Amino acid sequence: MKIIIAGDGEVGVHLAKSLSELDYDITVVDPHDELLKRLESETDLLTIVGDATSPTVLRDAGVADCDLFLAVLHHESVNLMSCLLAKKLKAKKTVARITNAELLAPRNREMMREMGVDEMVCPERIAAKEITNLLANSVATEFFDFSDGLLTMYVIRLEDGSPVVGHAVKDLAQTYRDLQVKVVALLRGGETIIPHGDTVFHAGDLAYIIGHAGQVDNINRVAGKKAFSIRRVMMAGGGRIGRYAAQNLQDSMHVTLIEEDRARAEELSASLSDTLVINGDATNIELLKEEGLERADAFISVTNSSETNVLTCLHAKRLGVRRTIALVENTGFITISQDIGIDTIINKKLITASYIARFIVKGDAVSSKWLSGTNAEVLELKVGKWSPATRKPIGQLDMPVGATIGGITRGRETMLPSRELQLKQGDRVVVFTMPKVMATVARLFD
Amino acid sequence: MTHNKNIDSYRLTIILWLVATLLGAVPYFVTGAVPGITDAVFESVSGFTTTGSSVVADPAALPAWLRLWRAATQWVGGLGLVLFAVAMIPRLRNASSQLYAAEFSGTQQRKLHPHMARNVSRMWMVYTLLTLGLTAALASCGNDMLDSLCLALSTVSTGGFLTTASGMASYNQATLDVITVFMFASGINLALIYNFLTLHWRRLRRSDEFIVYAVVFALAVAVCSVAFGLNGTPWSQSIRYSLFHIASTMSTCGFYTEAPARWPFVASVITFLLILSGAMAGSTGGGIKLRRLMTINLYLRNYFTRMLHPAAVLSIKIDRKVVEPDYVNKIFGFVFLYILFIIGGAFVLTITGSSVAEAFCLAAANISNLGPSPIINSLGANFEYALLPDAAKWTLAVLMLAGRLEIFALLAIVSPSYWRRQ
Amino acid sequence: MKSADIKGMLRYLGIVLVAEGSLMALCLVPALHFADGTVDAIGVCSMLTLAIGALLWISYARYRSIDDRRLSYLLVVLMWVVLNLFATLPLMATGATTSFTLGWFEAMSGLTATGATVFATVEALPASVLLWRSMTQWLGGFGIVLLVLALSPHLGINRYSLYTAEASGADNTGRRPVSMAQTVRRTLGVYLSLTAVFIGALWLSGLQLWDAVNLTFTNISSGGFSLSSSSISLLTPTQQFILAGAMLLSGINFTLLYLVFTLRWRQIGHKLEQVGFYLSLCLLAAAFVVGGLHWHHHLPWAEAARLGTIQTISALTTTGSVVDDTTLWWTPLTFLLLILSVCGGMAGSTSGGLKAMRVLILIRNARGILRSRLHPNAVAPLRLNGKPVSSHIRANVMVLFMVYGASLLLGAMALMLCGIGANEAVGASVGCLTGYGPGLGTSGGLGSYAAFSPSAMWVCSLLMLLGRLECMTVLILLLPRFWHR
Repeated sequence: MKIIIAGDGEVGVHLAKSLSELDYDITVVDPHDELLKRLESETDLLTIVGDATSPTVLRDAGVADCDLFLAVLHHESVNLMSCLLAKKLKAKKTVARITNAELLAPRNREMMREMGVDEMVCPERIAAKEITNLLANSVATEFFDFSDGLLTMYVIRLEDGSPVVGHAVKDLAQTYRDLQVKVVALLRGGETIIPHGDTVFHAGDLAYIIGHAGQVDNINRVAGKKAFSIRRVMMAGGGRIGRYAAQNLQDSMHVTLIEEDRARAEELSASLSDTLVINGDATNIELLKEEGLERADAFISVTNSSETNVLTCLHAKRLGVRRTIALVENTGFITISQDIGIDTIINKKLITASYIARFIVKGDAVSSKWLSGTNAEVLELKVGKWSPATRKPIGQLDMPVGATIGGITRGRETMLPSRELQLKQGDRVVVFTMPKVMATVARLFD
Repeated sequence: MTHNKNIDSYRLTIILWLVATLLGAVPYFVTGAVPGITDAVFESVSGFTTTGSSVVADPAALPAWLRLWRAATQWVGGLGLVLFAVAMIPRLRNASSQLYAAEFSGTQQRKLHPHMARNVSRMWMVYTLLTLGLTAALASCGNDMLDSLCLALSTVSTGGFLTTASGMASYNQATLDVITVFMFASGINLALIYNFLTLHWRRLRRSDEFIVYAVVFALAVAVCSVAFGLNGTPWSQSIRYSLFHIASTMSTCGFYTEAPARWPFVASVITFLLILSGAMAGSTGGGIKLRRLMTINLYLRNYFTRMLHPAAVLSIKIDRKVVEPDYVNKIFGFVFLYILFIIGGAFVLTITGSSVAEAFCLAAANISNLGPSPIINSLGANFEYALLPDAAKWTLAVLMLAGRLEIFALLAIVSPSYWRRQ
Repeated sequence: MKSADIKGMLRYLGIVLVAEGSLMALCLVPALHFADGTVDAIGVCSMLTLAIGALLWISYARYRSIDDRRLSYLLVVLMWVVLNLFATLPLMATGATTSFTLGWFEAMSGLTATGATVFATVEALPASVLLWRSMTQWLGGFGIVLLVLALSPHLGINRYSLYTAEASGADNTGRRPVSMAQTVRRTLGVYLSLTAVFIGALWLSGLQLWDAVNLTFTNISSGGFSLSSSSISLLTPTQQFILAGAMLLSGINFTLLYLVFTLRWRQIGHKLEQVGFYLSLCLLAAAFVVGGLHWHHHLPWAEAARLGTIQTISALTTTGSVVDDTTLWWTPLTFLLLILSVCGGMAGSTSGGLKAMRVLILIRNARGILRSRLHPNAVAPLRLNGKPVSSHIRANVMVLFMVYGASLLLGAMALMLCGIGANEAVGASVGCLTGYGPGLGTSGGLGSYAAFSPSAMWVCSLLMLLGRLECMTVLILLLPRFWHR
């Protein structure tokens, strides 16, 4: 599969790196000479220095026989333009990164498709949606829905004193009879463990649990957490993420949004009718306190500076805010930020990459999610007609090391994997997988 | 003529109004329908400004053509003399957008059509259509043709000249109901009515101002009906009367029917507040206009929020559009001047012999172009405009003009920079 | 709301109560001297006030700060209410007022320096009560609440904004004071020396010391209570003019007076336009009133000039001392007096009303809008004393004007609902909101509010508080949002 990535910065580089690990043919088009040289020396791919809106450059990159053309530059209009050109130059599928969520409205999306932009990714919009989802569940560090919400993956941090700490995974089913979940992975000290029956839970583990949507109370009980409702949210940073998130949240919660730039703040107050927009510096803790930080149930920091986000979240945590979410752009910071106590980290690059991955994974990936902290991926795959998996029960499938099945949906019914279960065509399988075996997994179910 | 289009349009507006009102006074004076020049001018100004305060003791006794003339002055004044002139004189069309601003100051609304002239003709179309519709409806209720036409002209323009000495009491119930509906409609922005007639109903529902108009109307009617009902008026009568009365007050039409025997005080309070508020901006009605009051209310809300959160950045939105601070300031300035005119007018009226409360009511009712109202009648058992001294009549005439021209056009001629040579 | 904040509020309440209680104890002097039989009552009241105040102060002495901004607004209003509650005590205990409503009204009228009285015959009151009435005006006119708050450095909000929230100090243009303490020291110094000077002047003009003290207290504070139901109408012309001087000065910004008294002429530039506006408005209105009295009532020039000028000053500064039975005056004259009281004196003085600075901004803003209509491209910022006034301040002045107007209108309507006639309701609403005092009809001129129904009195008390705190601080407490968020 041949993929061309037109980028001008970190998102492109990150995508290129992670995709080339999966054995795709990657060509990167980027105007920055230095960056490309470094990238080429680190990874196995082709780089072309140039402007992605130049037909000559695109032809040179071999757009005519590429399967996927990704435009992830900063400027929306450049992305759209290069997608249009790529499509005219016979690229099979084009994906553009956009910044204006308006284009995602169904009728606009249809129009864009007719013009030649097949898919559009708005990282800010996705990040905002993720924030909204996270606040809907106050306990889980992260959680994702699969199969239209029938299956959910919860990510929960096990604290000292949580009832399961010190017990093995296999004890779980015996001690808690009504608990029907599958623990697909544990993240311990930066290392991803795919648990087997004898793996023991430690305090501080981040547990990745898949179960059907009704299991949330059981999981909370087992993990020793109490759910609380989130009614007051304070958010620092009125960029696009902040704006979209406030838009989603303002109907159900009291949202206070802090933005440093006066003109931007005025724009925000004009577009967000139920959000209280405060003009001020998010690092000014006095201001945050005055605006009721201590009374907030959640604090979300999505300013342009990762350092500010991490620090203000830490401060909020110290003042007793129960839920903190920080936007961290530097992928190197993610693990350490989680270790020092910030509940959830949002990273635009990972989000974009996850979203784009669904266009790449061969077969019918319905959705996919790149997990922050571990570089593992959770895929939702549709079992194909000729798939090897329809021939043997799960116990006898040769699942590669580093991958595990988390749950199955058949029609409206959800099942947990067992050794005897036989998959059928049309089933949807949620698979937790490390990147190096992703292609193998995809092949298994196709 | 200067090179400043704005000054030119104010000049033209004022000249138009002065000439029209003076010419309009001639028929009253010549026929001897009213005793003197002051009365004739008062009647004419009251007509063109759609106020409807009248010094004619028995309108039914006037000759037919004069009755029609009286009603017609209101109809022309309803949309505005300038708009009338623009529609009549093609050469004015180039300047029409400044002219429009001079007469319809400060309503900042979406135009119906990119061309002002087209815009104006659409408004005239709606206006004419409403008038014809009402005339037909009234005629079918069993009124004679002349009466129907006069009433229709007075209603649609929210003028409110009465056709008989006894108010509306001599008309049958069907007539009153039809007029209630059209009075309510006359308080609606003409552009919205155009949208309504061309089946763009969504615009109506999306207009915040219309929703406020409808809600305030409903609430006022509810409170008044209950007040009348509790005061011993039969319920059906009190509801009917409240509907008629509130529609008449909010649209600043000023018709009144025979009031229930006991007039509760709450009704007076509501009436007075509604006189000040008036109807929707862009309608033929007078008053401060709901749109402006909504803006002030939103600003006030923001003020309180700012007291609690000094760093908060807040904006005012009406119809999903942001109202610019500069525009908000203009609204504040307008309301300030409006109140100043009421106080000043009332002050002059006390010099001519009115009591303080009476002076306020008279000033408010005439600056908002309401005209006759039960609240004025309640001041004295036999209150009549004809009995006021001449000085009071001139004061009221100025107030009516100030209200109709939304103050700024009138004030422009006393501004020094207006007279300075360009 | 945190309990520490509430304890902090109680501490501040304690401080003002101690201040109030000690001044109440001063009323024992006339009680003993004139032997009016109120020594016990006054003694008990002042001891009670002192004890409760001291108890609160001492037990919560540690809680100095209030972090929540909402509580600071609540505190300002609460201080007035509590002060008023205790100010009612002497009136009730001595039997001067027969019902709590009457006492509350009279105390509120005193503390807000309004001067509306419920006593038809003031002469019948015991001396201690008379002094207490004067004292409440003297205290309230200067703004005792402001005084306490201004000197407490640990409040959670900007004290300067509180300073402007509370009426007396309001002047948000011009130079900000170096420190709150300095401002308070200066204004307090001016207030005390003015009081001393006018007591002396009245005494020299032949008035008894007792009358001189009381009249100075009530007039320098723009209050308007007096020792007889004839107000100041029976004094000699000299004495009336001395009092008019006190009133006129009480309408001028105290910092400005300080600068003038200390001969720092160069610094007064930033208030020149306000003081000019105030004095010329006074002159213009006085000319009209004098003319009206001469031509309409056929008074000789000298008498017309005396009555007209003094009554105009009394109205413009919202004092409310009365030189003649104004209810008999020509209607436009009494109407004009009401309009003047709505304008009020200068910001930073003891007078009420909208204040000269605001009226000036309102007028200039309207003029600016008119100009911008004729010349849409002209750039002409609103200026005061040559300095541009920010659009923020301009808008705040506008809002206050609207709210003030709405309060007047709704107040008048509420009074009518309580059964007061239309004219009288308008008069009482203006009189109470602006702090002028006399209204129209029975409550106007030399009359009193004694005939008002209890419900009408409560409406009036609310209007007085609203006017004294310039509406917003009280109104924000009425918002449901205030208590939720």
